[in-house]
Amino acid sequence: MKLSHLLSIPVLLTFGATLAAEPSDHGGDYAGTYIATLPERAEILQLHADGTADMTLSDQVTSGAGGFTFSDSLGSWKRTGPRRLAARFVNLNFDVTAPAATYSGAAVVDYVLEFAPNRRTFAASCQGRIFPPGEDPFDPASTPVTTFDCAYLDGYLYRRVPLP
Amino acid sequence: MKTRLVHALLFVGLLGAWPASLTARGFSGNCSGTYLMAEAGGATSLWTLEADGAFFATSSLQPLLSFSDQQGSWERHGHHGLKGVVLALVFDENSELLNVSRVDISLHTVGTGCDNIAGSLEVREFTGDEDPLDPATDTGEPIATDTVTGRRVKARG
Repeated sequence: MKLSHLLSIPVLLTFGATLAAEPSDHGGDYAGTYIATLPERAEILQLHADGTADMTLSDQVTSGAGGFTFSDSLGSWKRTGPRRLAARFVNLNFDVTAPAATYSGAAVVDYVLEFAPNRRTFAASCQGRIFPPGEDPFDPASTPVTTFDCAYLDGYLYRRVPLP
Repeated sequence: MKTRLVHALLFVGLLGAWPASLTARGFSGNCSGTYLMAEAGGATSLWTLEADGAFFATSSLQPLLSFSDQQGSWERHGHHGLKGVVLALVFDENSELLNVSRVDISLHTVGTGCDNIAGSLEVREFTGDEDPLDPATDTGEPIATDTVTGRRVKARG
């Protein structure tokens, strides 16, 4: 057998292995709608197969971090390890103590999602920062007015919403 | 000659099997994502362009002007652009439906890749028998126009 043929075999094997491995840990396996229900709050998080994501939290219409209300959260996600995802969400905050709700800045919230082997539940942790209007929330030099985390999620899991 | 043919077929086969998203260019599926948008008029908004053509947006003006999150669709326009439309429900001071507003959007990528976008938007309101899905039925002028720039939100790690 010629050397060129021998060299092409490992390439083919590697390529085949990559294709074979993808279905077990592909983005499509994580896409879906998940809910976390806690005694005082609930959160719904959607992961789309194209890498986009959105999230609705029950406290966004009452009072979240910094005492602000805030919009639905939109963002992106990617796989960072076996059954481990990183997601970044942004949302718009509003100061409702003013006569008319006033835009009070953008929040950037970075999540780590650790899925169970069956991919039907995951544990979430987060670090969030709220930046005032005019500050670039993606600039590492920007100073947030509020920082927060999701420690309240400790011990609780997001669960995939089952079809009826 | 036969060996070259085998190699050529192998190369073509590998290219054909490569995920299409990795070879896509311009404002196609690989530009789907969430963007932090700055509107020249001062508003901040978040836009999600999903690969399947769905379009979702939320704006810092919503509490002030009493309108809902916006939902709609987008499609590729040219090699580096897109056209999109989203609809919003607008409410009066009694929280009753006032009208449906339509936002027509034109965007293009800035620089290489999809991390930066720019474009413009035009807002029209549809009342009475006017149909927000048929812009020709709007008897008024656009209630707002603006230019926008956006940056893609990317997960860390």
